[in-house]
Amino acid sequence: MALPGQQTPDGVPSFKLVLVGDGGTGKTTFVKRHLTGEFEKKYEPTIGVEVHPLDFTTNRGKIRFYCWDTAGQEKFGGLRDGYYIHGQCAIIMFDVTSRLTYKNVPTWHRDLCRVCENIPIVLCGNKVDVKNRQVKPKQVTFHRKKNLQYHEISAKSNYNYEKPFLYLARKLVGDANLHFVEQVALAPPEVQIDIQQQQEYEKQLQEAANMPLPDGDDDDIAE
Amino acid sequence: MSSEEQPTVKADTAEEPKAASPTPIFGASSTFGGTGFGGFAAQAAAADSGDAAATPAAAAGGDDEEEAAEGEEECKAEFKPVVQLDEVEISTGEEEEEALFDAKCKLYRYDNDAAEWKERGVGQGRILKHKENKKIRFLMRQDKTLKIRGNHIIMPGTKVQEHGGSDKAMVWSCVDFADESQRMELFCIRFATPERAQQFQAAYHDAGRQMGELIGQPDFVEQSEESKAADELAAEVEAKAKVEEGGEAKQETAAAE
Repeated sequence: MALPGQQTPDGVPSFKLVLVGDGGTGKTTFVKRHLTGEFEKKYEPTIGVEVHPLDFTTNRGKIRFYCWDTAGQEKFGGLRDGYYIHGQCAIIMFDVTSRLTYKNVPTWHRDLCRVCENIPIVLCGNKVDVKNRQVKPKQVTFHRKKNLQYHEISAKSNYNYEKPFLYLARKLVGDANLHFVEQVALAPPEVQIDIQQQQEYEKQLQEAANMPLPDGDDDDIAE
Repeated sequence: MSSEEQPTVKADTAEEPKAASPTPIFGASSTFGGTGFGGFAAQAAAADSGDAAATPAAAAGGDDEEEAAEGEEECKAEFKPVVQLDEVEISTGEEEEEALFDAKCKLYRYDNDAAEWKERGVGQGRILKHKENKKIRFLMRQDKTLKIRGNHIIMPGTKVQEHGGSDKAMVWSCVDFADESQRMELFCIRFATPERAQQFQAAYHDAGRQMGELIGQPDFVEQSEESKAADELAAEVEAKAKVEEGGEAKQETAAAE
């Protein structure tokens, strides 16, 4: 992996992004959503840190965030602020259905700023799709005191889910009008499959066709 | 595609100046705030305007998401850029292609280990034909980030069938290239209506036939004959479905297979 601020081997400018916040606020789910598209409902606490490359295509070319998805739970904290070193940008996440996770935001912010001075930070209130939220938009004021960007997001409904990365990319590149553009769709190869393989896939497909799809309404695919 | 996405991008950039220059619009509150906040007047005004916009929505019991959208403001903090990047010419990779099918969809991939369908993305699901070499592919991009979530040549003989639990969803197997490496995938695509799903099935099968004429049938002749027969049946059912109820057509498909 390229070091922070370095280019990746294929020449893509990369940035170290530190993702912090209380356990269960949805940090890992948010990263997975961007990585594979999936929405992980099961909660498995992150141990220490997991680093994932997240690529975006912009009008100024491809960029990569090395996303350091850190443990929110204290007992799994690992090196804690040892993970923050050379962080170039950050996301602090809380859960709008849990007041405590918002109350702890100043602590995450303080620890982060001790290691990373003056980096662009986005405060994210996650799970805004939930009907009974405990932290209302008006009650979120911390970002104003500390000059952070704030976004309400939902990893579940994809609401605003691209905004934190867009803000950080704009600041890191120094272009307030930076925007995401189409990732180039390379011509896929033609792949011939032999009959045994094909039959195996058909068999798997028959099983899969009877497995239920994840819950979810059709709002996001309404025409 | 690119023409479809263009408005989204434009809309985004159009929003920004509005959010960035609230002072003239909220001139009164700027002066008001100025007495208390001194140099931060403009910023305070921006914050106030955010609250002011959010309050009526909250009072009206409006949706939290909409409320939030009104309440968000752009942070004014300045940072020294980490890199300098030049504008690049945008290439979608689809410039030479035309859409045979294009509809909003949700794509899923089957996770064999977990034995469950996992979401792959929400966006436009399209079948694209190259104007020069006539090859046809399936391409699906994620909304907003425009990342590629599905990208493969539609191979002759590929069977697209209805998902067992939803008449709005279709499943098929393929070797996909979305991550720029070849991966065997079982995909499921879900649409807003059963009609759209059937249109997708017909378009995919038709693309398979066209590709068969272009690159030849696959080696497994028996298989392709079966698939052909199934396709023809599906096409018949498709034709009937236009007149009959969607549910009846579905039963016929099941019976035919």
